Amino acid sequence: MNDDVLRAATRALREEADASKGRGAETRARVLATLKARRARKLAAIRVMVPLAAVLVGSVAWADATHRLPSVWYEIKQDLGFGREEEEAPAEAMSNPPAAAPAAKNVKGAAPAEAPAEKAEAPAEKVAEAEPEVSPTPSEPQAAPVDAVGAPMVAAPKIAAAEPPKASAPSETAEEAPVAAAPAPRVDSDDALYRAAHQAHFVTRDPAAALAAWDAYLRAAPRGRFAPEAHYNRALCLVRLGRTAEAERTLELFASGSFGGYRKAEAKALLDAMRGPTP
Amino acid sequence: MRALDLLAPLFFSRPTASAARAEEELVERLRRGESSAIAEVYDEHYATVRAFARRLTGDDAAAEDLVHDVFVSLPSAAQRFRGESSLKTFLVSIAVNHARHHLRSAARRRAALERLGREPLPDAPNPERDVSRAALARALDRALDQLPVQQRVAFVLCEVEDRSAREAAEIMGVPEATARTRLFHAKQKLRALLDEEESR
Repeated sequence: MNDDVLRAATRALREEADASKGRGAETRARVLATLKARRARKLAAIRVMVPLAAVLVGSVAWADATHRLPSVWYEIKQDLGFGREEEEAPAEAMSNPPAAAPAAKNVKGAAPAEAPAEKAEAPAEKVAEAEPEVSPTPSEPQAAPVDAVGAPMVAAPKIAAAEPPKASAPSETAEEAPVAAAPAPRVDSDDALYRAAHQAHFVTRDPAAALAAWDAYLRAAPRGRFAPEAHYNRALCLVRLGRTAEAERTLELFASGSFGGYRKAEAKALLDAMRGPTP
Repeated sequence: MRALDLLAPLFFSRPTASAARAEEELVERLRRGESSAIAEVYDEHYATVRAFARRLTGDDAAAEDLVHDVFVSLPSAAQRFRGESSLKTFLVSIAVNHARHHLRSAARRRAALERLGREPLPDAPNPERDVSRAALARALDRALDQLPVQQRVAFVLCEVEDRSAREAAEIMGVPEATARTRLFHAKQKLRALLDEEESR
């Protein structure tokens, strides 16, 4: 009985379907129109994407060739807000791509974050006391005499932190060391190397030791946050040691803007002083 | 008769081989997305695809939409066509793959029409017979709406379209035994559902 009903219903369904009139021409036109529109969309996407890709590739190649890529990358990260996060978490920043941070940028908000971790334990009063002391703040320009060649006083970096009173240099007294009231990050070996180099450079004033220390820091953190400062200070050490050719090579990079605007003017001035007045 | 079977390939092998070559060329053009190739395939196979779509969905509009989707997706689908089945079978298998969405919309439309009580009646010379036929077809459509898609496809392919289990299995891309199992379960459920509807 059931089978009969099912069979009859199946036949009815078949007949109903066969009796229904299709709209073949209409659907054909719809299919072709859809395909045409799809092709047009694809073509339009290609027309937009290819020039964009070409511009992007060209820009990156140009920036790389002119050594502007690190600073451009830094700017992009800043604009997207990643740079700020990195500054808040310096430990992470150490493992990130090069930070050719212009000094002016660091001054704004990075100073408290750049404080080495052990300083966090120092009470606020101690921080205040430490202000006039030499504090290796990479963001703050500071006098670094280059007596060897009689060059103008150029700025040397220092860490924005409450450096304990041990590091002191009368000529390098910081006028505007920011108060590091924020929680300090943890200490790592790169920070220690940086501090050692800073000590040798600005406190003990031993250019050979400082050069070795800067080299050690750059080997440990070639793309570290303080790498531009380290490169610059290394060049100063070379000048003091009389290795002017090597120093010039590094200073040329700063003067040509390979590190963005960082130390550009100082490097130019130093190079001019080293080369003497042009006839 | 037996002798004719033996001799047939000798007489008909040439046209069959050239037809296969033509189909290969057509598929190659489809892969390149040539509109003329799609139009050619459409003209040749519209009736088959549309008939299957109409039988599967039980709805004219959904059937046309399904046909549209099949031919629009043909250039990309042709990339995986290996020539193991005929182009016609391949088109029906594309329709099966695209059917789910259209079946849902057709079922929704049917349910809505029934709720509103304005099921369209056919206007034909023999209205009494047509009305009972339409009522039966509608009852089967309603029952089919309650089946899983795969069972519905198996039933339509084997029972409504009179295809063999092997062919249905090829279209659905499953083993023949699976196709038979699906058909068995579909028929069992449909019997129960139609019985229930009859007793109401």
